[in-house]
Formats: sequence, C-alpha cells, structure tokens
Amino acid sequence: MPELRPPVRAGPARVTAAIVAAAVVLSTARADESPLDALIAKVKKGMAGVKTTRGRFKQTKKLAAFDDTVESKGTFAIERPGKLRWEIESPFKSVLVIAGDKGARWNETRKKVERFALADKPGIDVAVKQMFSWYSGTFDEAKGSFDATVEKEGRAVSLVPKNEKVREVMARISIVFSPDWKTIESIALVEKGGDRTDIAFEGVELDKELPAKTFEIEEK
Amino acid sequence: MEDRLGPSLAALVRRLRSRRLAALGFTALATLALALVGTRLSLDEDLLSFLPGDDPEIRGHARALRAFKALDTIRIDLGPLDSEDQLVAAVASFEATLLGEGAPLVSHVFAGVPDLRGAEIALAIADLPARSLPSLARPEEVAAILSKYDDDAALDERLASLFVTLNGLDSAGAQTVIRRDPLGLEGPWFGRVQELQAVVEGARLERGRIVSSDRKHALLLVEPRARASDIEEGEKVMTLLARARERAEGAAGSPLRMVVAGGHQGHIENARAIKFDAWFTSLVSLAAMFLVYAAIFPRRWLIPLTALPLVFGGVFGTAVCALLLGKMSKIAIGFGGILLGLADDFIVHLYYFYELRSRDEHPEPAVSAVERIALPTLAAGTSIAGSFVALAASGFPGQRDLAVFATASLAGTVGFCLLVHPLLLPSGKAPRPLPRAGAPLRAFVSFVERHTRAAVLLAVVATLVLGAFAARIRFEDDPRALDARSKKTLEGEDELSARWGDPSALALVVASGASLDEALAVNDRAYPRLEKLRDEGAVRAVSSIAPLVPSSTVQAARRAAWRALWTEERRASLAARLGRLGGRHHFSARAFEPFLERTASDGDPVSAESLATAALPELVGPRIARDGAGALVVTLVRLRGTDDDALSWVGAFERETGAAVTTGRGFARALVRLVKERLLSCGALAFVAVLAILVSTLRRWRLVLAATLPLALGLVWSVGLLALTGTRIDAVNFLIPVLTFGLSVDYVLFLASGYGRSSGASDEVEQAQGAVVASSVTTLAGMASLLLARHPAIFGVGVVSFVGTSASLLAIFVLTPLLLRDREP
Repeated sequence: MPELRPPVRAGPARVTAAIVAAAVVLSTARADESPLDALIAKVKKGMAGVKTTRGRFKQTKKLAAFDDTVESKGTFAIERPGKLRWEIESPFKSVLVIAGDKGARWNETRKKVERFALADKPGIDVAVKQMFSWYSGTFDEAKGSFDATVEKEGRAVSLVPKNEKVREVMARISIVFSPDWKTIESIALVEKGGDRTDIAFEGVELDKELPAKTFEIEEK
Repeated sequence: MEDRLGPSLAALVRRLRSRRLAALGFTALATLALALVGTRLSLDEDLLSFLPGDDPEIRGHARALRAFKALDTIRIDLGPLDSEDQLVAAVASFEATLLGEGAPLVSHVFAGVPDLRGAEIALAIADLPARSLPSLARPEEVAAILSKYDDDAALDERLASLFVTLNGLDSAGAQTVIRRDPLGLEGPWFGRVQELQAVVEGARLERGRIVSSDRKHALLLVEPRARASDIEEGEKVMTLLARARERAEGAAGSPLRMVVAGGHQGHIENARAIKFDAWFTSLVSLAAMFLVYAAIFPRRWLIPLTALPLVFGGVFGTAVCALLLGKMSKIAIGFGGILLGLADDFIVHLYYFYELRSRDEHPEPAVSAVERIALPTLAAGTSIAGSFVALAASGFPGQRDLAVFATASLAGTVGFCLLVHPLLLPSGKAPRPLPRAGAPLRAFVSFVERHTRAAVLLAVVATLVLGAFAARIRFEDDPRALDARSKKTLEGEDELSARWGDPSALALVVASGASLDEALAVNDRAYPRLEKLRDEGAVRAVSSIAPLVPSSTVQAARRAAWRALWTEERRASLAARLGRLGGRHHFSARAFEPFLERTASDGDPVSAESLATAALPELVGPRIARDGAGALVVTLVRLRGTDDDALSWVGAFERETGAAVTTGRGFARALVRLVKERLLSCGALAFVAVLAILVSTLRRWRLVLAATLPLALGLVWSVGLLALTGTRIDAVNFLIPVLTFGLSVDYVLFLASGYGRSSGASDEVEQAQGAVVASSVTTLAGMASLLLARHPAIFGVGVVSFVGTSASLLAIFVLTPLLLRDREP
C-alpha cells in the first residue's frame, strides 16, 4: 500500500542540503584501526562531555553568481542535544534559532519572524542536523557512501561523495577539528566548478551557561 | 394435489431394492468418481473475487484495491526504543531477515530511503524542472510571477532576499537553483512536489528510516507475495515476522514490541474464527439433530446413516462446481456447507413416513414412504433451488458460486434421499412406536382454529405493525461490523493509526485509462479539483504525481504557452533589469545566464515511464499500476474524517473529473446500495420462482394461496422483527431472508400435502404435522447453533436465518391450516 511511503524531501534551495546531510557520513567499512577510525574516536571522545558551544564565525563565499568574494560574520551557539542559534550580523542581519523540532527565523529583508516546525523546512532541518552531527562527533552513519581521507596531520577529514551525481553538486566537504578535539575550527564546502564556502569559527567558548532566550527570537 | 411422481419413484425404488447390492455398489463407485472429479476444484481465497463484477462502482473499488495492493500490505511498527541507534539497528535487522530468508514469502519491504539514495532522489527531483520547467509549470502561475516582478522595487527586493539565502546556514547548493530561476518560477512546482508527503502524518525520515515524531518507533511496510486472504501463506508470513522481531530485538539489545496491522493478520484471525465457528456450530447442530432423531426415531442404529445423503450431496455439489466453475470462492463453499446441513429436512421426512408406514405394518415401508414424500420433496427441493438461483442473479460471484454449489448439493441430497437411502431401510417393524411428534403442533392448530377471528386479527395487526418496522430495516455500512479481529489486533491498529495516521481516513483517487497517458490525462483533471477541495477545507491533504508527470497533452499545451510568453522583447528587458539590479547585491553580470538561456528553450518533455522505472521509482512507481483493463494512476487524499461528511465532495468530483474515489467508507456505502438493490430484485425473483413452482405443483389456487400467503407474511414479519431488534442487514446475511423464504416452502408444502390427500385426511394431516415438527426442530436447532458463533458475520447469518425461519413457521402454522381446514372431515 503506497499511502505511507514518505517521499524524500526536496526544495529549490535545499536540494543539495540532503546531500550534505548524507555527507556527515564517514566510511567505517574497515575494521582495523585506520587513521580515520582514530580520528572518529578522538572526535567522539573530545566532544562527548561538551554541553554548550558558542562563538563567532566568519563565512567566506566564493560563488560564480557573485562578482566578488562575499564575507559574512556573526555568532553561533549550540546547546546539546537540540538547540542552535545562527546569527549573521554583517553584511546583513539575520537570525535562525532551533529548539528541538521547532524553529524561527528572521532577516532584514523578510522583516517578520517566521516560526516553523523543522519537519516542514527540510532544508533547514538537514543543515541543522549536519551541524549537530559535526558538533557531536556522530559520524557513523551511511557507511560506504563517501570516500573519507584524513588530512592536516590527522586533525581534518575530507569527505568526497562516491556517487557521481552527488559529486556534481557537492564535490567535497572538509572539516578541521580543534587540537583538543572539543570543537571545530573550520568547515569548507566545495562545489563543482570551484565554488566554495568556508566557515571559520573563532573565540569559541565551551560549556558556558546559555540563557534560554538565546534560542528564541522576539518580534522586532 | 395429483401425485403421479410418487408412484413412479416408488416403483423405481422397488426395482432398485430388488438389486440392492448392485445399486449400492454403483452408488459407492459413483461417489468415488465424483469425489475424484471434485478434487479438480480450486478454491479462491481472494475476498475481492466475492464481489460482483457487474456493478461499475464496486468493480472500480475492487480494481483500485487490487492494483495498489491496499488490502495486502502489512504495516509494522517497531518500538519503543530510547535511542535512535537502537531503532536503526532493529529496523536493519528486521529488514535483513525479511529480505533474506523471507524472500520466498515477501516481495517488497519499505523501511525508508537510505541517505545516499535520498540525496539521489532529491537531485532527480531538482533535475526535473531544470530540464523540463516549460512542460511542468502552469502558464498562469508563470505569468503571475513575472507580473509581480514587473516593478524594479519588487525585483530588487527579490534579489536582496536571494543574497541572504545564498549566505544562510542552509545555503548549500542553492546557487544552482537561484542562477537558473531567480524569480522563483519553479517555486509553485516545488511546493506541490513537497506535498507528496503531506498525507503522511507523524512520519519522518531519520537516517534513512521512517521514524515517529518522538523518534522511538519505526515503521515498515511489507508486501507479501501471497494475497492477504491466502491464509496458509499468511501463517508463514506471520511466523517470519515474529522471527524477524526476535532478531531485531537482539540487534537493538533491548525489549522490542512489534505491532502489526493490515495484510494477513486480520484475515488469519477471521479465518480462525470462521473455522472454529464452523466446527463448533456444526457439532452443536449435529448433536441437537441426533438428539431430536433419538427422541423421535425408534431405530437408533439408523441415525448415523442420516449423514449419508448430506455427504453424497456435498460430494456431488463439489464435482458439479469443479466441472461447471473450475474455481470457486472458499467463503461460498463454507457457507454452502452450512446451508447443506439444512437439507436434513428431507431425510427427516423420509424417516418419519418410513416409520409411520412401518408402524402400520406396511409390507414395503421404505417404498411407501418414498411414494408419500416424493412430490413435496421434489417440489420443495425445486423451490429451494429456485431461491438459490435468485442468489445467483444477485451478481455477486460468491453468491453465484454458493448457488451452484448449494443447488447441486441439494439435488444430490434429494436424489440420494429418494433413490438410494430407501435401499438401506429394513422392512421389519420398529422396536417401539413412533412418538406423536405432531401433537404439539396439532394442539396449536386446534387452538388457532377455535379462535379463528382472533388469530386472523392478530396476523393482520402483526403484519401491519411489523410491516411498518420492516420499512425501517437498517443496513450495515461499517465493514468492521463483520470483522472478527481480536481486541489485541484492533488495539494495535488503533495504535498505528494514532502514530502514523489513520489509513481509513485516506482516499485512493484513481485515474484510469486504456494507456498510461490517458490515465495521466484524467489525473491532470483531478488534481486541480483536489487542490481546490484542499484549499476549501473539504480534504486535508493531497499527494499526487500530477506535478511530476503531466500527460503529454498538458505538457505540450504548457510548452506552447511558455514559448508565447517569452518573447524576445520580454527576455531582453528582463536580462537588462537583472544585470542592473543584481549588481547591487553582489551578483555578477553573468549570474543569471542559465535562467535567460532556459527562457529561450522548450526544455525536455517528461516521460512517466522513465521517472517510474529509472529516475524516481520510489516516488512514481507505486503510484502507477497496470492491469488487463489498462493503466491506473493513484492520488492519495487525506480526508477530514471517516464519516459520510468527509466524503460529501466525492460524487461531484467523480462526475467532473472521471477519476474514482476509493475509501473503506465509500466501498461500504457502495456495497450497501448494491445490497439494497439486489435484495429487492433477488427477493422478487425468488418469489416468482417459488410461486411458479407452487402453482405447477399444487395447481389449485386455494392451495397456492395457502402456501404463498404464509411465506410472504412470514418474510414481512421476520424483516420487521429484525428491524425491531436492531439487527442490521449486511453484505453477508442480506440474501438469507430470500433463502429462508425458499427453505420454508419445504414446510408449507409438506403441511399442505397432508391436507391435499383425499383418503384418511385427518391422519395424513397429523402425520404431515409430525414430519414438519421434526424437520423444523432440527432446522431451527441448526440455525440456533450459529448464534453461538464468535464471528459476527456467521452470528448475523444465524440471527437472520433463525428469526426468518421462525417467523415463516409461525405464519405457516397459523395461516395454512386456517386456509385449508374445510378439507378436514
């Protein structure tokens, strides 16, 4: 009976978000202690006890659509297991908050606070999930879907989709972990044709008390 | 009644008795041969094959249910588990068991979409408008969006918003879409595609598995290879599921509960209930019958032999069905077996008159008994066969099978009873006299005769009152009323409905055509109408593949509109404005080149076949089916409820679009409509058939009136009593009143036959009354035994047949003697 067959979610600006979600996966096919296994073990161990993470980020976009490299800056906060704030302060203002399976967003062009269920915003859902995955070290899913290599003296992992069609959209994802393995230093998303997004995290603080309103947006 | 048949048959029996061994040996050989022929009969367990094929609505429902395996798919809930890891491990193990060792039993398991495959599907979906937007986009929506951005301020705001999107957390991959579609022409299309999942409530995909909103339960859909009504295979499937659960529990490392709904589970429980009821009620009925026989018949050693005519009748009926039908409904043969038990009346009549003649020291009591009962037995048998033929005219294949089996079995029973069984009866005197079984009836008739006016008045009043109630008889339109599923199973189904959505609130909107493209054209007409119904609040959600695969005609029309819209002038103007305004938001001069290129092209047409088989088999494949009549495309509609109000839109929708809506409720309503129609037509046919037989048998109008009036009034009384007691007529018991009408002919004929005899009339009447009492007691006992049934459908048959036969007997006992009494000395 077909009635309960949920189709896979898709949306205009979220198409590759699904792929990125899948890209959280690391191949763990080999049972021996490879550099990758060692990295996963270190990430899990390092992030296991971290309850909250907050800091600043700097995002650099180099896209064919832009005539220059676009830099954006802002702050972020994560409280495990399911809370996130992602606030861009420049070159425009926007806020995204997630608490459990609900969220809200605002930006200066939209002007109104939009509240939603994550299930209704698959693009955001996928992006948020990837953030939580990266920030909790749970890389054990979808074995064999990506070729993973350890880089930067064992502190970074590079994920290349095995599937050619997926590679046409997202060529590579690179994640660099902090030396103490408790947080992430940077993420790079490389698309086909050289377009790329680099996110660098700065001034990261761990296990600070985060006020409840961090994960709320008030009407402006 | 002029009786030439009796003496002729008596003469034949006399000759057969003179060659008894040869005749019995031939009968034994014939029975063996018939039994061998009967083994060629194959039994159809498909419930849908029980439904009439001549009603377009029912045929449409059955076709949709069969094509999309709505009745066969098993829904399985696994949980609750605290961790998602455990849940994923449990589902993986469960799936592996079903697809591994369960492969011979299970054709398909759907437990979600692996992450990578999910990404591929997302890409394939995104690829569709990229290649084929001119074929997919509605021209009026494209025009409306373009007109919205005629103003520079609006376009500037749009570009600012796109810049924000490209820099957001969820921006990965957005550039491709924005460059090819900066104005959001694909937006309405994506919105519709996203609605494909709108009918699925409470489900979400996590790590490639379908999980509940609290992430503690997982859902699997299992399609067994065998139909849900195949009980034998179903038992194996259920054993396999139990084994898969055990292993999944091991994989999860935590106690794991499995809740199963749909598919075999309900059928197995129903089949078990029916099997139990068949044995239990048969044993009770047999015990009651033997008790009555033991009380009446002096030669008790003959009692076990009463089963022989019934056994022969069953073997004969099965052989006839094998030759005429080849295949028949298993349900029909089950009910036929129960009805065949009612044919013991003829044996009772034979024994009763045999013992009477024996008591009177007749030299050939068996031959004389045959002479006495031949005409009424054959007339009654023919009348009952007539009412079975009326069943066959109902158009229900199952009822047709039942009619053929029951008529043939009846013929075999009557033939054995009149020609073979008398060969087994000795000529000696009975060890004790035959009790006066007719005495109570005799006393009752005498009482009625002493109070004729009061009896007539009571009959008239009863007819008026019960007739008024009869007009209010209610029909069962809830299929669950005929369901014997266990409390545990029903609770499980409720649990699944609460967690994953109620399947009974889901409608299958089926577009059909000789070819897939014709079906898609109907689907194209249905979809906008359904969207309107959703917007008006008449339905909650619509999940259609119409946005993904329009028919070739619609695609061609859209492409033509696309070409007409994108004039050179419009393209040049938009290119200039995008270049000028885009620069304000960091967009390069060539940022929207992909968009401008596509406005100059028709794009590729969309192929349904290619989507269903290659690009999107998970999404499109299950929505398309083919059968001998052509192609079908299904749209799923989440209703506002399960009552009639939730379906108020269906009639107009079907007329306007040509699509057919199938729901459990709609199916039940169609069945009720058909039951009402067929009950009337079959009842009328049965009445005409019985009347014709009675006229040709009884010949005199007074006898005919004395026979038919009680039958007609008995029918009115019984329907009135059923209405009064709140008993509902359903798809199983609806023809039982017709049948009891035919069966009651037996009693009225035997009773009338007593009055019709000129010599020793008083004694003949008393003898006939005794035979009628004996046979009616065993019949009523058989029917009453059905009241002990667990299965509601069999219980319903018991109620309707018991009330119907009791009312008919009462009417016969009151009215027939009154109408014939001046025949007595």
